[in-house]
Amino acid sequence: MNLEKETARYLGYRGSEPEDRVKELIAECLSAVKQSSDFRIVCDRFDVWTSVNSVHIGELVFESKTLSYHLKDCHQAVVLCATLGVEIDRLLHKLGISDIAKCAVLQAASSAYLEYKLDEYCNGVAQQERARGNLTHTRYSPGYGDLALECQREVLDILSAGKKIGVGTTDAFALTPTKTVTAIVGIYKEKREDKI
Amino acid sequence: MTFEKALKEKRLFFDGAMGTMLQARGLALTELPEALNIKSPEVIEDIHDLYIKAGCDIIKTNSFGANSIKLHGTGLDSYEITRAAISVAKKAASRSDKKVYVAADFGPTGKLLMPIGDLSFELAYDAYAQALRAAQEEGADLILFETFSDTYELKAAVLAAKENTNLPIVCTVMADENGKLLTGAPVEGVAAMLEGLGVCAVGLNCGIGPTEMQPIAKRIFDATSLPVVVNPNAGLPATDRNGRTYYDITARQFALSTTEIAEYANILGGCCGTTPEYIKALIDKAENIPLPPEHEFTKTVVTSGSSAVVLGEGTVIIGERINPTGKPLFKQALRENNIEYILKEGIAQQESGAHILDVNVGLPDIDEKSMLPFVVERLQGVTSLPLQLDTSDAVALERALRTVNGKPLINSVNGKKESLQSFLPLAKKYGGVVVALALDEKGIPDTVEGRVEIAKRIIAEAEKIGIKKRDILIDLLTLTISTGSSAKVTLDGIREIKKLGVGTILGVSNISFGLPLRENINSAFLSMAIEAGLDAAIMNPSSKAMMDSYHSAMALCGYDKNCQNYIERFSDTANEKKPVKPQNTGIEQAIKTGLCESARSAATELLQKEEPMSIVQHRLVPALDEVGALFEKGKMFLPQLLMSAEAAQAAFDQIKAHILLNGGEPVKKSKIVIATVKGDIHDIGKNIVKVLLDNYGYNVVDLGKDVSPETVVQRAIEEKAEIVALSALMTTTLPAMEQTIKLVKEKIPHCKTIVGGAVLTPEYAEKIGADAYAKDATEAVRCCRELIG
Repeated sequence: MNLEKETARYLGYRGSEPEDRVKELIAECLSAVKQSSDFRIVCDRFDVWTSVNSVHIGELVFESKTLSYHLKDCHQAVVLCATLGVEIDRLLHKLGISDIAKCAVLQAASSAYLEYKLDEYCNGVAQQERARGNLTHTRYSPGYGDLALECQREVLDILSAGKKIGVGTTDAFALTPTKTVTAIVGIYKEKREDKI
Repeated sequence: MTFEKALKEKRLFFDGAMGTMLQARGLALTELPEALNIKSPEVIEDIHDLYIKAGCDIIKTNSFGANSIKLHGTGLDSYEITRAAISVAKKAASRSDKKVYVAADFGPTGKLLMPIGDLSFELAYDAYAQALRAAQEEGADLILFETFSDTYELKAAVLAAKENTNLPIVCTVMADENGKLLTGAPVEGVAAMLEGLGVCAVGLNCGIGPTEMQPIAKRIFDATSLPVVVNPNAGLPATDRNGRTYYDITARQFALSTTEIAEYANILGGCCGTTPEYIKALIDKAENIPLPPEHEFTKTVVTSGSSAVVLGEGTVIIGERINPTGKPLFKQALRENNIEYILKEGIAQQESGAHILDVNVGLPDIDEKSMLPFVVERLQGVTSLPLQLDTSDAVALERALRTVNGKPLINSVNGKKESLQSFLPLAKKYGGVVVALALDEKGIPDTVEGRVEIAKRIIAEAEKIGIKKRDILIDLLTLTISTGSSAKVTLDGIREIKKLGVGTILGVSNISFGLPLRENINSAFLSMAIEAGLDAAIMNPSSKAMMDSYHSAMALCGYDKNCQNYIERFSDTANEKKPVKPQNTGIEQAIKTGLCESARSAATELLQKEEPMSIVQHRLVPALDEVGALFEKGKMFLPQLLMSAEAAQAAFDQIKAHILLNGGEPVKKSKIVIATVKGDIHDIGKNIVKVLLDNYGYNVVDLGKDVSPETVVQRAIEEKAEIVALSALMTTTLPAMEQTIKLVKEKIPHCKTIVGGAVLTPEYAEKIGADAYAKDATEAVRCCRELIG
């Protein structure tokens, strides 16, 4: 992933190049993000059973048709929670008051960076699984399809994400700090057609 | 023997993990361990028994999650759970031949406090209060707060314990290998805050194993006079072949490594992964190691939620700009509740190099009792600097002392009896560092001796109620030299005061009052005061001359190791890097290209020859309109739009200041109240809309994020708002938006509503009764113009 391009994409530049001053700002914000973020991740592997309307992941049950479809051929899943930590939020609060243009760019840069770190991590998981003869699906998060945001709390609890990496949710199930993602990565057995 | 007595006299051992033992007995991850205190107390009792048999002195009750927030929705009650947890622990303890202490154990709420999360300080306090009363009533020997990773939440918990029990309090936090909590606070700062709050021991638990904990434990030992507690995990977590987590060191290794920490810690024990076997091995190994020597920590430390400032190694800078005295714009901001103005002052001072921020919001027509804590709360959301609470109102001070995260400075007490009686007990209870002015009922003595006399009296009064010398800074007061007095009294006084074993602080700029080119005198005086050993200078960090002097004097006096800070400050100048000069482009062009400095200087120039309102109407607004149109057509992008907005704001601020200073009526269009709805903590979209509305001269009252429908309506009524603008970013907060609109319609039917946010559609906006939907900030401006002009 090209972090500069991805940040620009988040800022609405689709295909077109940002102007030099914006490019400079993007570079500055990306370096601030790298410096201020404290990337932490917790994850665990669980067995998976799916039915049409629900999914069992370890001891958790999710009522979701879309997740069930996404995981239909999976026997296991990695459930994860990753965060860039509180310092990025502090920086965003500060810039929200003192420099709104930089705030918007930092917002985009930190989102891009979190996705980048997650991709990196998930590639590692995929590689490990491949060694075991398994393949992995793309990340699936609460809020996608019909998987309710309300299940954020259970996901955090089962991973002890509060205690281990300092993540919580608000009453409306927004993850805190804001640059935090939870996701489910389905693991399925490699079939012959996958190899082809 | 009470726990506090035992703590001083002998080495004590905590038990090990409860969770590890319960999981080994088949407790599911989704089950609440605390429920077992009622459902199967025999299981818990059995675990306590095993630890007691292993030889521990203190057992932790099975009530880690027994706070009302964690138990919300589980059907369990924190009071009942805690009672049961203590009762079962006491039962096990009573069977032991030796004295076993029962520690009522509480962990964090699992929610993050404002401003990162949505939990208020008061609700965090309330979450523990009930369970703590149960601990007291049921006869716990001590309170243990453990595994905390946020000083603010820990402060709420400790205050709740102080105000609802009379039990000794022990706190252990979870730090990483760098000695920082997840919220960024260094352990030294945590120890300073907790010792100030009056806990009886501090330390570490969880997160890391004994090997990693050793250097961090030493850092805590070196930063406090309190006994240190260490409860490490059984090493670091690892995953076995089946994907199950385990901890990677054996009981023997655990005992060896933990024993190595015994020279810094009075209490040793275990956390995740440890079992009675680990604790027994540890006790066998460490039992006869003598206690660490009692030691007195003498440094002055002030802290915020994420940083600590140690005084006494040169001079620290306390920014003085958050103070309405002599500042018409600041006064206006205070009266209009314009909190952004105040926050910007704080941010600017931090960026100019302040180490601490003074906060003074005292004005005759301002309710300081609510304003001071409010400003403190908001300020600590945007700056990492410790704060100095500057007030003469004891109620305002106490409220701010509760609200402030960390250990603040308190500015100030003086030698007057009334001042000492009302302020010192507050400093003692909340653990601040007291600034003490060398004046009393008779005024400011002329001589060094006279001022030192008062200082001695204040120190004696403070020590009487248990405030240590390290928590006192004496302000000898700077009198202006323009009336004939000499700075020597103050400078000699600094040297004398330091002999008393307390620190010194000064408001530097008073020295030049009444003289021309004050910065000359201020800078020279600052250098002399640094040389004399001044610990803290209250000054304006945006004064270049004074900051230049500061860095030079610090380097000259040897406080700036290898002149690093000096070189950093002046290397740009040395490389001849010229500052960006404002381009002379005209205000419209400056706004369109987003150049703040150019826009500001163009505005200043125009104000000489053009009416302020004409500049706004004929230059600013058309330039903004043009930018907005380009943005809507996709020819300009968000960062550029916002740079233009910043430039327009810079020009607008200049115009507003000009009007105010020349006695004109402030530029104000209709009022708009803006907020992110209850439950939603994403506020960048709302902030962008606010900046653009500001640009167009609307009087925008920003209520922030996570704002309840009641607050929105109440404030809209108070402010006589014509529009309420609401933002929601998540599907789960749309109902709150609907409720807010309903309440607005009901209570203030003439008030219009505008909504926006990622998950909204025009159809949904109409369905919930909003008067307008804006897909972005430029559209929000257009909607407001259409609705109210």
